[in-house]
Amino acid sequence: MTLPVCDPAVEAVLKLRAEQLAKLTAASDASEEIEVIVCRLGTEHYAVESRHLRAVQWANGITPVPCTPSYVIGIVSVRGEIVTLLDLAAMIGLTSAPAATSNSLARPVLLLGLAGQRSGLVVDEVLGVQRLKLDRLQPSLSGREFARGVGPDNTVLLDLEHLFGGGRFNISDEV
Amino acid sequence: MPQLTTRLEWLGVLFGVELADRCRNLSALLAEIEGVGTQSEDELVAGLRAVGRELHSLKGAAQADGASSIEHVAHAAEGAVLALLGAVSGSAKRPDEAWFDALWAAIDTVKILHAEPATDTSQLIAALVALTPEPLAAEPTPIASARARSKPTPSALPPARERTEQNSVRVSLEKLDTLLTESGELSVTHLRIAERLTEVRELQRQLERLQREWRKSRPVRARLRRGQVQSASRDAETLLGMAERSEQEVQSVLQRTRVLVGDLAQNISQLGAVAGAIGEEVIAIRLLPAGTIFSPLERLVRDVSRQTGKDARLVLSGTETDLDRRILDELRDPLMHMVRNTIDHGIEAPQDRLLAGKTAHGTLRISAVPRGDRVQIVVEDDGRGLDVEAIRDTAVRRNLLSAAQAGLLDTPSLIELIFHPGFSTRAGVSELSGRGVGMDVVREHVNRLGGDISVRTSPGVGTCFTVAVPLTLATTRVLLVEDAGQTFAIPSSSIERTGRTRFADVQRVEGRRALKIDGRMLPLVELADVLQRRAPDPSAADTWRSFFVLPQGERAVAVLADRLIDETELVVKALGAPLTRVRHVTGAAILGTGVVVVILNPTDLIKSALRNLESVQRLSPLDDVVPGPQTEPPRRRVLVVDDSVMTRTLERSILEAAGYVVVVAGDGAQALDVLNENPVDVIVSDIEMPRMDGFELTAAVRHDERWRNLPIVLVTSLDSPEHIERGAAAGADAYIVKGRFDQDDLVQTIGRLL
Repeated sequence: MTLPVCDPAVEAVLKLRAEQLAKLTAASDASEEIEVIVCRLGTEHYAVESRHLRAVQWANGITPVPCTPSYVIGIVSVRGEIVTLLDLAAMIGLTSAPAATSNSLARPVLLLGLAGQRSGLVVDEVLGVQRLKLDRLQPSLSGREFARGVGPDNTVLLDLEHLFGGGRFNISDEV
Repeated sequence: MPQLTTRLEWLGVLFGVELADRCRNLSALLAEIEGVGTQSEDELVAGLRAVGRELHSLKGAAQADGASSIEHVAHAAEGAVLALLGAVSGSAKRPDEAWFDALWAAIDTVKILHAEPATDTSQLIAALVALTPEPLAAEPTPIASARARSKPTPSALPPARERTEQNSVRVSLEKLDTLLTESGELSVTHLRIAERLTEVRELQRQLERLQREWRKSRPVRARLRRGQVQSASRDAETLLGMAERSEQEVQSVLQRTRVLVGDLAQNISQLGAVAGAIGEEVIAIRLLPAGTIFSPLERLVRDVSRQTGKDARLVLSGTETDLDRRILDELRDPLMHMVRNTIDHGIEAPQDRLLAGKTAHGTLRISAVPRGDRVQIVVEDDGRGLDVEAIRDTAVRRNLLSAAQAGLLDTPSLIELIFHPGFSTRAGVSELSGRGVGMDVVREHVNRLGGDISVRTSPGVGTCFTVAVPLTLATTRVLLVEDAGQTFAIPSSSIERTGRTRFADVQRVEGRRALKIDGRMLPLVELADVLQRRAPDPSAADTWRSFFVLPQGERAVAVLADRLIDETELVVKALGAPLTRVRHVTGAAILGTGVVVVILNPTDLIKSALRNLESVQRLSPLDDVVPGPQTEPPRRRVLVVDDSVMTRTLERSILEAAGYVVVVAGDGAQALDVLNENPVDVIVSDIEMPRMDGFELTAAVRHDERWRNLPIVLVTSLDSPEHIERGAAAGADAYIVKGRFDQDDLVQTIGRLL
């Protein structure tokens, strides 16, 4: 099928109009979009930025570490490296989710890629990857720093850098 | 290490590394020339030429890197060296003290210049130029023409040194650690694959059973066939045909499975050999020669001698002995401190030495000698020896002991006091060593490495420090312990003793639970309590449990756990953020099976234990139960053979507690010797041992008329059918797997055989 031949003048006007229209839609899409991994903790959905993660894996056979707080589930070996597994639900204060214990069957783990961290977050289920538009976020209900907002389907976006920043979950005890 | 993104940065790092190398070489060369006064002229010429070459190369490298201040200093220093080498090749003027001072200053300055390029070098250069009779060009000429001027001729210096430098590469410690981790994973994977082989063998056995079933059905099928001829049933015909084909199929599959098992076993064995070899090589790569930290001591000896007005000479030996580079790092400072100490306190002033009939110069001998899986570093001097009385006085003065206590101490105990924090016998604080932060810190460094330090002294004759350190830090020997469902690892070097006990044997002293061990009354705690873990309900009064003793100076604590598993070597890994420092934990390790275990911190354990002696009474209310009637055990004799001291001691304590008399041997060969001297009733032997393993021992014992019927129990960590078969073929009577054995198993098994 061949396209109808157009008058160059008309074509010029059409081209200009097309460009203007294109600029409009580009503007409305210019809001920042991030890629997140969505997971389930209890009955709620949470999202974390995939750029903060190294990998998503399964973990079983977790070795508990004595004298650590309850949000530290234990340690595992990931290709020869020791990684600490943390209970994300406990860290953000969720009491509705059942506490993850080291006796649980294989649980999904979000391995963190934050600088200097060799840890992973244990969640109940990993639901998938999504792109989230930041301007569609509603303010978080709790007002806590690490909860950046609530997405369209009640998914809470967590800010991992804030969560771990300040060494809040760092354990450094002497006897 | 931060990523070096630009080529310039990378070159800068390389230059820094080369600079350090050249300075080290220069120091060593200068010390050589300076140290031995009676050098032949040939040796002097060779030495000076070597120094000149190093300076020349340094100059070139500095020029390439754009470090012009270093380049100028090197150029001037080179001039000072060339000035000594006569116009007639093969002759040289002997350098004087001013020359040495200037050259040493040049080396120091070059190092400073690398960090602070703007440092003023005019004085140094003036001094160097003053040593050069004919005026040199003010600007260093480009390398090409300089090379044409001073044609380096081959010298007597061992060329081997240069050759090895070219054949080696520098690798970051981080990369080595990664390699070590990967090698560990390789071993774990190999073990997992070996498990698959076991499963395939299971399949093979299943097929064999199936085949036997089919064989059994042959007569039935034959009868059916005969009947078939008469009744001509189609169905029977079909079924018989299927049966035939099925049996053949099973036969074929079984055949292929057999071949598969054979090939797989061979491949796995090869994999195991390669994985093992890689593991060993990786550990060996971390080794560096002791000379790495010995050589800088030459300079130190010179400087300290000058400062204190003494004359001390350094004699090194064993510089090629290899040590883990981390260990070398940790020992660097302690060694320097000991050298300072020795020259400052130990070596007498030249006049005093002559008066005492000694040579005017004192000799400091430092050597490194490998001894099994450890290296012994000896720092020995021929000085005045330690002043025991002065030590006693200082101890009293510093309130470490009362005068009465100090009076009771014998000489060895007094000498031990020098390792006490805050101890120093010098009245004033000398800049070098009088601060009293000395030998205790040295001991701490050494202990941190899992080593120990001891000292011998003889008044007027000299002092000798002996430091023993492990050969490699890559792996640590640990004791695996099980308690309340979890396995823990404790560094063997921190365990004084292990054993077993029942509640009936636990006593109360000063209101605390205690156990009498080797004649000492030691406080007793539960591992679960120290680690603040939930423990299961108290067990019956006659349940055997295990303990290990952690010493701390004169005190010690016995820690109770459910059972001791085995001693093994592990690669220690740090925990990492967010677990920066966890109480009672030093790190983790991955066992050969892939299981992760927590490694406990003995120092923390002791601290908590001593604080926590009023722990929850797991043993009550059965504590005060009167012990049940003891049955009269048979006083039979058992020979325990194992190359691990820990395991021997453990098995001995189990058997002695059961009433046996125990003799021990460290390997098969030794066991035969012991057997020749002592009659025994049963042998309990490990399998993996040096010189003669468990199988060979069993075969040897069976071969001998006297011991043909002597019961032999093989105990090992491996659980594989081949080993069991081999053991049985050699003539063993029983086989116990260490990791799983309930310690009662051992006693019961022996009881059955006797």
